[in-house]
Amino acid sequence: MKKLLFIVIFFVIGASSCKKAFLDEKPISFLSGSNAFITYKDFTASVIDLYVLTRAEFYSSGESRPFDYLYGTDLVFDGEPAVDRHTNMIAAYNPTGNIARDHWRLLYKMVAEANTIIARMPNSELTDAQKVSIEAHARFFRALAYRTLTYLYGGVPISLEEVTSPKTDYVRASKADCLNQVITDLTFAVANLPAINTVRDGEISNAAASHLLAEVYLAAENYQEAVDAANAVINNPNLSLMRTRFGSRSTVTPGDVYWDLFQQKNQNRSSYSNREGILVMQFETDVIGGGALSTTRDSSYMLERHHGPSVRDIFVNSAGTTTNVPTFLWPNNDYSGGRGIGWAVSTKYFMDDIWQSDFKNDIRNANHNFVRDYVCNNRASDMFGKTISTSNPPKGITVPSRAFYAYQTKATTPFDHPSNLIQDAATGLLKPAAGATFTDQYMFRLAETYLLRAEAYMRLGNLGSAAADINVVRARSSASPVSAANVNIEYILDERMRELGVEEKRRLTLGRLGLLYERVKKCNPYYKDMLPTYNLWPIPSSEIERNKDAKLEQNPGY
Amino acid sequence: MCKIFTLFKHGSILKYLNKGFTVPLLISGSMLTMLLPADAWSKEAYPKMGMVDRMTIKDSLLSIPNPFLYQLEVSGKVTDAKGSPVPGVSVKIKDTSIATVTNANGEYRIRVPNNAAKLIFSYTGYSTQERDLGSGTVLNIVLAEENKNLTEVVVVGYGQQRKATVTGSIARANLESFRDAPNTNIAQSLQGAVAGLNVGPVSGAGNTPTIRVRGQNTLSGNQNALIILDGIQYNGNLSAINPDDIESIDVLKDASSTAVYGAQAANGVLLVTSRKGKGEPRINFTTSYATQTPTADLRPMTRDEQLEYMKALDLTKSYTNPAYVQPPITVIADGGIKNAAGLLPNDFNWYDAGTNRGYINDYGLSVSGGAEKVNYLISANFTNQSGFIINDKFKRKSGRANLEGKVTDWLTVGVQTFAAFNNEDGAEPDKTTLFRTSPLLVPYDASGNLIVQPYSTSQDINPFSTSNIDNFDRHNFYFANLYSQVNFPFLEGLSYRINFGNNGRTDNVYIANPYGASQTGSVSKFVEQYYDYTLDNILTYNRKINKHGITGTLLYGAIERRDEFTQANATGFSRLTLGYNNIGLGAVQTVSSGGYRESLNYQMARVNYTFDDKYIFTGTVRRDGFSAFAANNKFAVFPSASLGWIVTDESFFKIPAVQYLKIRAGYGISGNQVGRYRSLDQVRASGYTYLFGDGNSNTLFGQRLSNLGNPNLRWEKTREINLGADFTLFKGRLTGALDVYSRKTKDLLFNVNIPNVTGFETITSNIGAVSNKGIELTLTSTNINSGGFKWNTTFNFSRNVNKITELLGNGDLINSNLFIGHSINSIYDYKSDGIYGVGETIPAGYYPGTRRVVDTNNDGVVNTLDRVIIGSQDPKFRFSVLNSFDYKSFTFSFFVNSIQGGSDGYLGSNTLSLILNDNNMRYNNIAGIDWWSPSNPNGEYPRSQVSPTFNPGYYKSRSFVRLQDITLNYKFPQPLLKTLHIKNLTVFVSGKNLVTWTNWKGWDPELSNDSGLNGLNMGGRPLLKGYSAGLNVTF
Repeated sequence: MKKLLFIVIFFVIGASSCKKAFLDEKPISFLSGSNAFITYKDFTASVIDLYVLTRAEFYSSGESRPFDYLYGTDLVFDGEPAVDRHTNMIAAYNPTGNIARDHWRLLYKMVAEANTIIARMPNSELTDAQKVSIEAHARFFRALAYRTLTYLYGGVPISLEEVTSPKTDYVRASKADCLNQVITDLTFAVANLPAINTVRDGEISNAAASHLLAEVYLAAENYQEAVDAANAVINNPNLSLMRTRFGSRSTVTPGDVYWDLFQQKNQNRSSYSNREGILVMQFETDVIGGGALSTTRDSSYMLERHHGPSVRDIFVNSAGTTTNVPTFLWPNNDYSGGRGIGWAVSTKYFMDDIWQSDFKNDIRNANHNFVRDYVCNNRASDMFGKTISTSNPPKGITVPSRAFYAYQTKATTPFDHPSNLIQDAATGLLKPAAGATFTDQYMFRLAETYLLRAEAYMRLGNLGSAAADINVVRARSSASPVSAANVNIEYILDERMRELGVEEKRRLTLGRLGLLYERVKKCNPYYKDMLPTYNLWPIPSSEIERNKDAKLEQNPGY
Repeated sequence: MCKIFTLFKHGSILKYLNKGFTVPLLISGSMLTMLLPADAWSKEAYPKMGMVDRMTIKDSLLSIPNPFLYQLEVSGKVTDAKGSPVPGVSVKIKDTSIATVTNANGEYRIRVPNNAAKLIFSYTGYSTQERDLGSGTVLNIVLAEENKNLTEVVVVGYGQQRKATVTGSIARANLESFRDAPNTNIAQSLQGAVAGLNVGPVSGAGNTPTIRVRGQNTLSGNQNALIILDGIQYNGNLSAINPDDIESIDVLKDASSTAVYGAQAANGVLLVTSRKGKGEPRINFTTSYATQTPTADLRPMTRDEQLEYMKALDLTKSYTNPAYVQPPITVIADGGIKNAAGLLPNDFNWYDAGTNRGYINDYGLSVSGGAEKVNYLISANFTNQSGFIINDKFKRKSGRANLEGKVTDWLTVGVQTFAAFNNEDGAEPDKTTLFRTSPLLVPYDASGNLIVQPYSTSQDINPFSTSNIDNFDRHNFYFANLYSQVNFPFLEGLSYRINFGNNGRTDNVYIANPYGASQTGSVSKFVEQYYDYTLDNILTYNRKINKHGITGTLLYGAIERRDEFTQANATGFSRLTLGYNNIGLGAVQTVSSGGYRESLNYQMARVNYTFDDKYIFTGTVRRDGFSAFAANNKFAVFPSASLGWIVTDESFFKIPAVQYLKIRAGYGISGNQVGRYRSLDQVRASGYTYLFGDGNSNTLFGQRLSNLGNPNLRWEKTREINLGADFTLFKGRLTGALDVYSRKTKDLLFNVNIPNVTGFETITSNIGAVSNKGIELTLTSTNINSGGFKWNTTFNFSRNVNKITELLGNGDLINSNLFIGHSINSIYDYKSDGIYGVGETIPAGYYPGTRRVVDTNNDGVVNTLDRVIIGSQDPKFRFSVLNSFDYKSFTFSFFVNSIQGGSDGYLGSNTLSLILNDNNMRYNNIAGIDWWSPSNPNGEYPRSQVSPTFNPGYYKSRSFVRLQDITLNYKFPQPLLKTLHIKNLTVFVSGKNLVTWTNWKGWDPELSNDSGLNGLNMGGRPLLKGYSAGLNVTF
């Protein structure tokens, strides 16, 4: 029995002498909060993710979400009804819907990442100069996210600390508080971000921060500050409107400088000395991190798919009757809209009304920039080589309708699709995987800064300066100048349509101004179910439910 | 060899004598002479005692059952332990077919050849007795009531125990009844067969079903039962295990029995034991062939059906145009299914082309045997399964070697090892695409080339472009448990055992797809390696002193698991000649890799004490440490205690109908662990990439905090009280076990949804408590046992009620679908009471043909406040019945299994709906759906021109009764086999899943309802039924 006892004791001692390290948990293929925020490289990696998140939110998070900024506005309407494309607005903007939820989620992810960066810096190896630089980057993106949230949802909860344990008692701040927070962050960013001529292509700069600050001052109704912020951009010697042809396809005709702005490789400063881009979101095809693939449109920016018309559905012949022979060989590398499927159909207001004064002379309305005349490209059709026009559509084809409307070529890359996507070089037939837009995308462009300053001057009653700014933009496109007397917010919104069109996140502009309902009612008869309620999206109901220890007030009308 | 008999002459009567013992013969010596051939005996004079003859009869003749030879009559009376006569007892002469039965007074008479003969007394419910005649002609027998419960041994974890002394809720699965069923996975034999063990069905070749014990007591923790193979925790795939190699499966259900496995045991434990060799060498060969066809008859629409369907879908175009003229179908039809000549002329059945009759072909060979010093089992198996969907293939080659040697009196060493090589080469066509590609399209062009994108108007791919590819899909499993046991000579009953279990797996999945990446070719190569070891030191002391029996067990062990994988992808190949073997030829190449390590460290002590074999106590305590838990909560202690009382052994117990009754009561705590790394805030560094500028060499890698850490994450602890009884009634005609339990799980691990303002979706937290209460009953009865006919029935019943009792903070977590007082699996959704018809007043956001949503709170608007708890996905109860019939050499059995949900339980989502859009105008759909339309206002499934604001879920009962297994097997008679030198030969035919009675619509109600895949869903897959035939021969 003694021996047994001895063995038991031995056993128990053995049991308790296990090395403590055996149960330590060390992740093998990823980092953890404890070792990912130490060096400057760690923090720059976090900043890179802010670009990734920004690109996702505004361009590439999927087939539908980036286009929530276009649908439901005065610019386009839906070629095919679906909740994802803002038809049945009751459903689209329901608090339980994806639209309200997904943008909220992604934008707050940007906020949280920025907060984490700022919170982790004190315990890092960063030098003071690095800390300031990193913080400026983080605060720029935090401001971008809060500005977007505020335009979309109104006042939202302000969270500026890193969240390390579950928090379920958020309350909404006022819209003014939100804008003030954005202004605070942007002011820091303007002071501490590098100059635009010192940053890499696509990186944020103090000019980008100033541009955004000008816009947010407009929202906050601080118009003089808006002018000042815009001045910092417009007076920057490293920025100017492009006024002569340039870039990778500068010899291609037809073409003009406005067209050159949207050709592949032409957006960045270093490639072809584009001085107009302020913040250019980067896309590169078939490169890791490039955000665009030639093998599938998924994960790319699918503006071509949305805004290109669905010419595949046109079945007209020269006799003007219906036939089973498609008039167009679709999808095609030419000016027929790539692999468009006619979901973002231009409103009549966008394609016709705003151009009336300068229909022929405004280069932005030239057929290679805003296609109205389509050359039939199906050799099997007796219409081959003939032109059909949205101004004088063939019998049986409604304009604008999903199959046929005028579209902006900046949504696609005519005669310049990636070679992998070209099925048949002789006919220009594209592979069905087409549908992405293969160019870098202007988030902020100097032409817009002029229009922002014009808006500020207009609000300040300085209509002369407002007209002057607008005319800088119009002059570049050979459009006749506007007189000071004609400058008002409607005119500025129309000019933004002309200059920016589908390039602009239109919902943000109209949301900032609170004019979404009015403009839709005025310009877009398609959205019969538009209500003033929809000037703001609802707070996602899931967020209200998750935030169970405090009440997140819902926007009125929902 | 010959036996020598001596014949005496006693007057005119011969006497038959052996070893000096005389008995009267009933027939004359001359008759005897006549009956025996001349060469069978010899006579010689024998001088003593008036003996006249002595003859030798060849042994072989004696084996011929010839009652005329049996001149010795034996008689006697059979009584039970209490002295009552037992009528109907079979009395049989050993090695013959000569038998009789006892009469109403328990008396019998039988003639035997001589007093060397042996008699076998058997009767249901009593132990069979084999008795030598001895020196008398009267043999009275006292039959002991048989008690399997007393003799059966079960595996209890870190040891074995007689079932009689088991105090927890432990059930041994009936594997034998399902041996002949076409099951490629041992877990399939458990489906419905053990009360409280819930095993799901499988629909894919080689798949492993879900294995759950009792109710769900976790939300985000692991739900699967812990599997212990030959004492070693087995995390591999059960599909690697050859079912024929398995001797037994014991299921530990309650916490008092699972507590020995502590932190991982809250979901129950399956103890799988492989066969051991024993007795004389035995060579066994089995083979079977089974067919595989779907149980559901869903099919896609034909050409004509689809054209009608398109008209009904695009009502606006078809019927309500201003002229009220229906335009030709070519106008309505999508451009993708027509050409210049009009509609494409085809009527192609894609689904038929993508499916085939499946089969399972199985071969097994094993050699086993054992002697005093060594025993061995070596087996090999080959299984070849082809599923219903083309290329759904599973081939397994496996081998096992179990060896054990007794090296000395005190040392035993052994190894249990297997390797399995699973081959799942071949890719299936995408099921949804197979169903929905229009019959107007065809997969191949006139010259036989695959048309990658058959619709000219969409990116939808040909389903065969995902199956006509090169897919290498191999999974190799290696298992070896090396053990050694020392029986210490200095202290009787003390032994030490060390188990060193090793478990390895390699996965190699390679794909070369010429149609991938927009036909530029895509190739991927995935390689994963997994290894774990278990090192257990077990010290056992087993002693019986007078009435005190004691077994003590001490355990110290550790587990470490390591995994790593590498994935390489490339797209853009100018040619794919080298397939996946040279990924470097792709223009765009991406690589990823990862891995993990986790570890456990534990100690356990158990004592099992019996007094007078009537009173039993078991107590265990286990301490567990797991790497995945936060630093402050690495360890936890899991105690348990249980008591048993064999009531029938008490002298005061005098109910004659009850032969055995044991009452058990147990209480214990077991745990559930969270997945590794969940307590850490994880920073993911891959997948978040960006670049600045033009060009292709400046990729920048970002990092993202992907989840919120929780430094306070604790073990999920389940406390359970289990009361049970094992009983034998009516002289063994009815045996069974009844268990009732109540378990409460605290510190529920849950990925609770948190506001997105935090930057995160969820955080893994300990958030509340859930209770599970239930009852389990198993009954086995012998209904008939006479005249060689035997009919046994086993009935299983279980019921579990799940309820959330506590949630962190203020009440229900609506967004996480958790409600206090309701089941974890409650369905909280809008209510619908039909479909809006034409002409009704329809609220904004809804259209004719969309589901009507009930304003349950009557506030005039339909919003999220109108959601209510509609019911639950949990079954109300489950039952199964196994009937088996033995008649002579035939055995017939059938097994019926059922899950029932009552009016609001076992609901499944079956949300089929249709709206008009481009894709739906192109896509085919399931034939025979009762769609709503203006002309079919009572249609069951909504169909509308525009999608509604809310499309409430549509839930239907999944209750079913299934004839799951049916088997007929025939054992060839011994005399015939003897001449063929075969020990045993059995042939069988069986059927699986032949009939299912249910109101469920779609594939099969019991298949997983995740995403409604088992309902009217084109992406679902059928449960397979089949007939099989096979043989089993032993040499």
